[in-house]
Amino acid sequence: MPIAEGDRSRKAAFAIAWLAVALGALAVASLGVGASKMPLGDVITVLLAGPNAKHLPAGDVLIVWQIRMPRMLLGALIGASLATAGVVLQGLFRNPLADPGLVGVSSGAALGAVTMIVLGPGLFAGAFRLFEMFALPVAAFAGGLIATILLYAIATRRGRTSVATMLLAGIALGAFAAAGSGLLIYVASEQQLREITFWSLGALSGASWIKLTVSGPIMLLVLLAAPVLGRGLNAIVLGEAEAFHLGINVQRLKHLAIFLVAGATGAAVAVSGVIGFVGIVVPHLLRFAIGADHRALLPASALLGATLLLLADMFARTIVAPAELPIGIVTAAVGAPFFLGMLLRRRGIVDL
Amino acid sequence: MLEIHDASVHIGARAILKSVSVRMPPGRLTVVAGPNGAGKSTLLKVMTGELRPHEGSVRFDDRALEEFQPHELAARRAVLPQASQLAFPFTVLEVVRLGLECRPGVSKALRFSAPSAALARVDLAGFGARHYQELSGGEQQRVHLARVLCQIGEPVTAGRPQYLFLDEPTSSLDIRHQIETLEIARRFAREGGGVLAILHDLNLAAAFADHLIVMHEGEVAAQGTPRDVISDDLMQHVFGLPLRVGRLPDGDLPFILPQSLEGFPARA
Repeated sequence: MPIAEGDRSRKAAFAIAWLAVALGALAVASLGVGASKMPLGDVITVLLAGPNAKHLPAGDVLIVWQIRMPRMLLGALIGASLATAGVVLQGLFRNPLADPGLVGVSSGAALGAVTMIVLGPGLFAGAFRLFEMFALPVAAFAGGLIATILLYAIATRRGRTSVATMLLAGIALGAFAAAGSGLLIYVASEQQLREITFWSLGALSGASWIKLTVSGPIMLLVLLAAPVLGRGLNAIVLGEAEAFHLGINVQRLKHLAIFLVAGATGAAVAVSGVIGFVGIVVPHLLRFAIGADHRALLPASALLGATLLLLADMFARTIVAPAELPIGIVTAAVGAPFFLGMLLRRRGIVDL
Repeated sequence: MLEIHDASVHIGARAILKSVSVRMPPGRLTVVAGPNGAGKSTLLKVMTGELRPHEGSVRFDDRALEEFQPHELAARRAVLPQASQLAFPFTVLEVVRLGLECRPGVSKALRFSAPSAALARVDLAGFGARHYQELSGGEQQRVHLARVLCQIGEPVTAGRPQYLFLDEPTSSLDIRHQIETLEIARRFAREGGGVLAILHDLNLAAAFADHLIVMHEGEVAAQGTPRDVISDDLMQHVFGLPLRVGRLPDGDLPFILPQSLEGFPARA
């Protein structure tokens, strides 16, 4: 079958295959990187031997299987989720400047999470302590959901979205959520304060198999469900009325999109705090390379988001070793100038 | 057959459509004209199912329009919007293909050939790989026409007529492409499909419409063949213009030459 002029689907399929290979290789390599370096051969030996290997140094097995593996998996899932949330949010708002971190969705999720950290112990006493762990991502999800719905209601009128209103509403929502978090921090205990501060910088260092069990399934579910939105998001880019004319159930699409954005952002924020700019940088780079078709953009962004977050984490873990930087600092340092650059080139769009 | 009966729409206390009844039979090119704010776009929204009238009914093949699922409607009717900007770098082919994707069971061969055939019909052959954002307004409008043609397929598909709605399809086109676009619409009607187009240019309406509906203040002010509808009275009462309607010797076709109103005596 020949390829039609302007058809980039085969190119996109190749890109997705390459991104998957790159992510796999980087994931294995990242297990050897950290305060104690391990040659790639040793990493593979430890991996092949399994988590209960007795004939290998116990320290190596512990580092790879109990410390770095959950961290790598969480990092990859968080990167993939944030990039996916970015793509969905941008399609829904019909502009490339939407990012969960910039438009207040992450702040809403963070407020939900802080609320749970501070008030949770009072809610879940005694035997219910077990639920407290699971309550954190649920609270973050609820906060993110409320923020996304508010944002959509404010920025969209009659099926059209104003970019300027969206960005300004994001600032207002972010400020409001920060005020709420501030109030809670004011009444928080010493121990809770430490927990909040550590978490709000965007850190992967607390990663564990338990955290992975709590938040991982939510993120995985979002990643698997997101490609269903591909065709609908393509159509809604033309406008809500046009999407309806093309046979899309617009109301259902919007509900599902908002739900997935809140789920991905909430789960990611619950484990790692606010990690910004992944959702804006990743889809923007990919649109240059493979085009804007959401059916390709969604899986490709998930893969590249995971890859970039793993790279950022490897950098964060080694640059000030044996200490480490919160990963949110790394993504913001790279992402903020990138966003400014996009803004400068697209002043026309923001004027709308 | 698509028809609306006694449809009314109001925003707050203001009536946008007042008990409008309009039929859109297959085989006919229906043109809707009228001054700005006459309710043309609202009429189009009601007929495409985008807006439910507050009173009155819309029936499509003797079934209430609101009973149709979006994908059922998309298989039977397509709507050409007024040209718009896209925020993302889609190629022309990708935009045109959006029309094909809402049709179930499109073969691989058709998926390959239909978009380029549709682009050729709107005089954009070879534009597939261009970026939509970089085209002129008129070219973008024709890209959407190609997309809509891809969506709707043949004028009669599976034994049933298909319907085409065009919202000011000629607004950013040069005169040659205005004529070519309306030729496409008329051929679609001749071959058994139903077409409804909103046009501002009464001369184009006179030249192409089988049936002309003139809207004024939310009501149908006149309808019939362009020959019967376009008259000095209509120009005065609907558009407030004291212009005389000319008649082409060839078939008595009405035409209006826009000219300065200075020196025209205001008529009662």
